[in-house]
Amino acid sequence: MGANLKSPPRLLIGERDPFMRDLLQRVLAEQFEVEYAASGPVVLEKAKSFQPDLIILEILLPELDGFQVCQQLKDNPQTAHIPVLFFSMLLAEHRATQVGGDAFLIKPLRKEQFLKEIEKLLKKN
Amino acid sequence: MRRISTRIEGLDHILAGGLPEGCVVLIAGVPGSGKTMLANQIVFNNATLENKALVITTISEPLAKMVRFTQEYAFFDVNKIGSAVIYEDISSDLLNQNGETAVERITKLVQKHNPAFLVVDSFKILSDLAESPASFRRMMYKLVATLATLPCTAFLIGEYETSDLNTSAEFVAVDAVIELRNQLLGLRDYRSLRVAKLRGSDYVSGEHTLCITNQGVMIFPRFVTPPCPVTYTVTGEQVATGIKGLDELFGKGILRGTATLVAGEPGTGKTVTSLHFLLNGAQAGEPGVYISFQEDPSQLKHIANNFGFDIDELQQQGMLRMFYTSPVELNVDQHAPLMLREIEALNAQRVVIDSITDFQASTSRDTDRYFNYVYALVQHFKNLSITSFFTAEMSEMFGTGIMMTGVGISHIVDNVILLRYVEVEQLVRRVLTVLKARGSAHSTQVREYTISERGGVCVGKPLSGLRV
Repeated sequence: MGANLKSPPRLLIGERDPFMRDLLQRVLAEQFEVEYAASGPVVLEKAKSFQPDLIILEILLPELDGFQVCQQLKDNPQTAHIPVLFFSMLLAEHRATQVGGDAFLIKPLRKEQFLKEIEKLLKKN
Repeated sequence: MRRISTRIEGLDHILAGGLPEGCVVLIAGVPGSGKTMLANQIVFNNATLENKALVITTISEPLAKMVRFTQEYAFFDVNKIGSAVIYEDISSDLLNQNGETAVERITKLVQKHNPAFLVVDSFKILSDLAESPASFRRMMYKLVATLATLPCTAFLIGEYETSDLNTSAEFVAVDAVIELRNQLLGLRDYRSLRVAKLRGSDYVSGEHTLCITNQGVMIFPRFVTPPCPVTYTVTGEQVATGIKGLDELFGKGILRGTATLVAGEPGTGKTVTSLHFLLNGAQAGEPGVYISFQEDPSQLKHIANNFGFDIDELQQQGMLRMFYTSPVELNVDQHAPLMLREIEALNAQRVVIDSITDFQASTSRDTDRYFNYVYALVQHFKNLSITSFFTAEMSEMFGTGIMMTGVGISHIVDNVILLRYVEVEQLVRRVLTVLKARGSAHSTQVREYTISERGGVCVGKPLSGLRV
């Protein structure tokens, strides 16, 4: 993984669904330090305070959707460097890329593929 | 009152142009009847940055699942998500608290987003979670009163049975109720839509066919008689069928714009007689459409070729169309607009329906529907001055007690031609009788007729020595 990563690497997850948050916690807690945000503005806030190595974003977030959040993250020099992995039920890879998303995975969770993508993005960082 | 088009063709027709702006619509139906899709299709069809849609999911269907399946349909536009169409999930409010809290949350979300369209899916869960029916009535009133202050057209979705609609507080409070049904008819599912209530507006009553395709919901309004007055006027002009010996039984032919029932036992030549009427007309310059359910176009082409007609040439000349539909999956309301489209595209002057017995099978769920449908069809044809032949199977052989599946239909049509087998001196022969010719004198003689490749259908002299 990249040299500037925290140990363990920090992941910020923008996810509104508590059931999905529980599942992600079980999958990720051993390897990563994970922080959650259930709405768009909270993702933006925690991106600055928590300083994650990677942000995992659902598109359908309250207040500000994932596209808007990603756009704002990429427009802000403080957060522009953080890779964003879209993880959504919405088939919107094209638009996710347009707003600066680094990768896109469709729900439901496929554990191996999901972890592999996280690893790839963290290495890039 | 300004109307909001649903941009679903058949539905706008049923709603006399669309829904009154700002009305609160209850979309009711059993699970799987298409409620969520209908509401989503209307909002995706209409939502813009200026006229946003707010879709609130509660706890009957998780947001993730709803979006996952809805996005498979053509009306779904991912570019509208988050801008023109905003999804909100209030399941956590409901999992931890009661229905009243959820209504307050819905009200706040509506005030925050100020949407032109609101969907609450499912709304019924709020009544299930309310502390008492009285408390639900109060919160229902509050919500409807809040919505009434805003230019917001709302769709409240619920898993209601038809019997629930008469007793529920929701039915009283809302401005419109659209009920979706999914019934099993034999081996087929029959989906339908019915407007059960619509304040301040006319609508087409009754059960309308609903289909779900990858385009979303499609609505086929119940095929009804065209609005009065029927523009058809009896001209007295007689149309030659071109069938030797038949026209003289009516004088010089059948009256233009009339409907003729050709009834007969299996094998008596109903299809061949009707085909001759249509193809003779096409050759003489009257375009015609053959609507068939039993014989497909290649079988009909083969039959026509045997009698010396070139169907391909007539089709190329724009004088003929063959429109075949399998009787197995026939839905009359879905079929009617397609059939009329073919007829109008050709400016047809003659039409054959072979046979109306298939309509009867398709409308088995409702006996009156069959007669109403054929009546509506005849009136549409009259409006277009089309001279039509309808074939019908007759069940009793070798008898005078004429048992037709077309019974009752004889009142609807203008002319009735009966084809029968009779036994004459130990031989079975075919005879034809004109039972009815509205508005013109006709022969009542029992005539023998023959069908041959060389001569086609030939109606001969009255049969002597007939034993019935």
